[in-house]
Amino acid sequence: MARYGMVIDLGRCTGCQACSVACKTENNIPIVGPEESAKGRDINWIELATETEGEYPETREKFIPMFCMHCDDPPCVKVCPVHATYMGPEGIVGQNYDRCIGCRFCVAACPYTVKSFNWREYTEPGEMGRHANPDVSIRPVGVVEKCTFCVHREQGARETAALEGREMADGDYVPACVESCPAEAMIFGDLDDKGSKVAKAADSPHAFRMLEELGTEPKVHYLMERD
Amino acid sequence: MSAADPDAALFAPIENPRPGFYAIVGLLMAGTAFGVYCWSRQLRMGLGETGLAMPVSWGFYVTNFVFFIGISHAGTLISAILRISQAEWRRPITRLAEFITVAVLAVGGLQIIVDMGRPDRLLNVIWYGRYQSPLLWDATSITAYLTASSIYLYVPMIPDIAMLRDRGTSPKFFYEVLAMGWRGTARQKRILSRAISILAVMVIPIAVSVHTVVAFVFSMTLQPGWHSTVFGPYFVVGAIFSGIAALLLAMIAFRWAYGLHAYLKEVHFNYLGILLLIMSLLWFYFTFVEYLTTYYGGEPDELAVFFQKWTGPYAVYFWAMGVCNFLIPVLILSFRRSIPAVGIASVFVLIGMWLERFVIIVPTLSRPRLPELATGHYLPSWLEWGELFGSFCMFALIYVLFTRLFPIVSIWEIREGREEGLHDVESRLKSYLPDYAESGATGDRS
Amino acid sequence: MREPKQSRASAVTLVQVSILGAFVLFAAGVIGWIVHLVRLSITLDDVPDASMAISLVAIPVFAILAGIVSYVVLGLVLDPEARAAGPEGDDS
Repeated sequence: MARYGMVIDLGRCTGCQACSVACKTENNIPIVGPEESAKGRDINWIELATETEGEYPETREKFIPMFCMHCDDPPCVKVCPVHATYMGPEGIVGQNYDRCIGCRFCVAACPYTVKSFNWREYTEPGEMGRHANPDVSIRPVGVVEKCTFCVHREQGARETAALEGREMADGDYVPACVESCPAEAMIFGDLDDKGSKVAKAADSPHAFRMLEELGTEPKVHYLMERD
Repeated sequence: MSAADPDAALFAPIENPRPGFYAIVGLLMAGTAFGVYCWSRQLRMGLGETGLAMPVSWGFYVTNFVFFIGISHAGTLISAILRISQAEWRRPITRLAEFITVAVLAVGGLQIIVDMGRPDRLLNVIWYGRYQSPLLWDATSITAYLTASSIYLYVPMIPDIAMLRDRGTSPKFFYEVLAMGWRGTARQKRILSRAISILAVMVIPIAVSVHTVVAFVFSMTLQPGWHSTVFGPYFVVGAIFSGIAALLLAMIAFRWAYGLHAYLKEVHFNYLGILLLIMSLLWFYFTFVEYLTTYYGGEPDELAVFFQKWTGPYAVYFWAMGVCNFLIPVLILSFRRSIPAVGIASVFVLIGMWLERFVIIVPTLSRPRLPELATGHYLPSWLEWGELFGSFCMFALIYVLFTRLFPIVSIWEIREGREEGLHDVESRLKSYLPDYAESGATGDRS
Repeated sequence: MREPKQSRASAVTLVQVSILGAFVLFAAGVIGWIVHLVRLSITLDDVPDASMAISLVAIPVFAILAGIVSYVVLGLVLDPEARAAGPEGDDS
């Protein structure tokens, strides 16, 4: 079975946030509106974290795209009382919107703060319906959601491969963010496939993971900026 | 039945409720209804009606949950521990205490349902529950505690219910059924005594487990300020602390409302006041150790949360907590444990303990390990205040309705104290002193 | 006046035994729930150790509580002296 992971080359990331926009479109992420946004209720499966280093005028901006790390030992899965967030067979930490009771324990337990909650019924089905991606379910009020590595695309790619009578190859399936990145800073694939681009990138001496000391074993790696 | 029943005051609230009773019930029902309205509004419009957002996704409701469940330790401490240690002064207090436990567990459990984004899916916890999750430990433990406390409330009430049955108090059928055919025969007394003894011993570890697993909801995560080994015992100590304060306030309220001055005497308040003082010191000890360890260690994320409380946006709550939980109670209770003094101290303790739960939950969420992603200050909405108010009213309503049906002071245990207690205590004292033989204590009436 | 008293006494006993029955049913239900969760965790291979460890403590607790309630209710209701005293008794 595959073990999907991602590598993001921070040396290439320009902070353009095309990944963020692509994700919102692909996954029918609701627009919460200015009032709710002011209260801190934005839903962003992928967000650009910015860090300013140094003192003015010698500042440097660091851009770090943050989204679900799809940990191999996910703290959110441990605490979910009903199996709504769960570890899939290919390493994707899934979210079952029908099962979720909205207790937000997983939101509180995630050390990366990458889970979002539907505080209201944000998506008017009628309106969004015209623009919605039919492959992704629209979430109701009161449930948690987060990045799924565009698992619906994986399902599509698997079916295509089966129809063509072959195994899935590296690059058959990429999430929307990876596809959209104009700087080609994001690499996605099967970490267990030694020949894949992502496995090679993850092996780089410049690769690191966020909050590695916590032991969550995130499958999203970052490559340090190199001069 | 003697004409001048010395315990007439204990039957009066049941057999002859004054108009004031109905007025209070009316007010409490109105308060509860307002709380229900707040929740119904939230059901219609989503949790967005609260002040919650990212990153503070838990606020008032989870604070209330921990707070109310914490108060439930009143019953166990007083009733079970004092019963087992044969402390005679517990006699008029046990039922007040035991009933707080049952009422407050019910109200506390409701807080979690109010906090859920999808309460319509509550049954998912039953069908699909996972015992790796601390929430399931909570569900099991609280169910066990509610069950055990209800039994531990009811069984010692049986002789009193039998008295009400024999007096023909209405509703007659109700008391006849619940009296379980009690006649006070020797065999029945043995059965009751044995059952109460076993329950008293059983209910203590169950109670300890309840607040320990509530603490585990926080300490089993990796979040700074939560992932601490002291949380289990810390929450239990805090629970006992707030439980005693709640019990003292209940005693004061009903002593005044039902004229129980003969039963709830200065000495009872004095002893509970001493226990409250001890718990305040113990609470302070745990709190001091926890924060000193964090500060001295200096781990950056932990320190960031520490400063949220020490000097940051939550400083006013943190310092108010210290004043209410430690400074004021110790200053008052070290010197004066009169009824008003103890009452004032208890009010401050309840406020302080609510603040303590808030100060544990919210600052950690407000300053995550990766603060670049989400920041925000939590301010509860009027809805959350309304729900808190309604919850208090509901608890008081349940309690007051209970006192309308059952004697709030255990009449048969008072009588047992009059008839047998004096002798038991005398022979026990003699067995401790060198001048007497190792006298076997007469009976084991705990 | 025997019959109204006796039928009332039987009604009372019936309700009392029903209360006991309801409680035992409740305890059995909780135990059944815990067993269900243990089996679910084994089927899904979802940390079955946790479920089994908790069930080892929780199930006996509810079983003992059911036992105590049965002991008290049956012991009191079926006490021969008390039944001989009749449906109306004196102050104890």
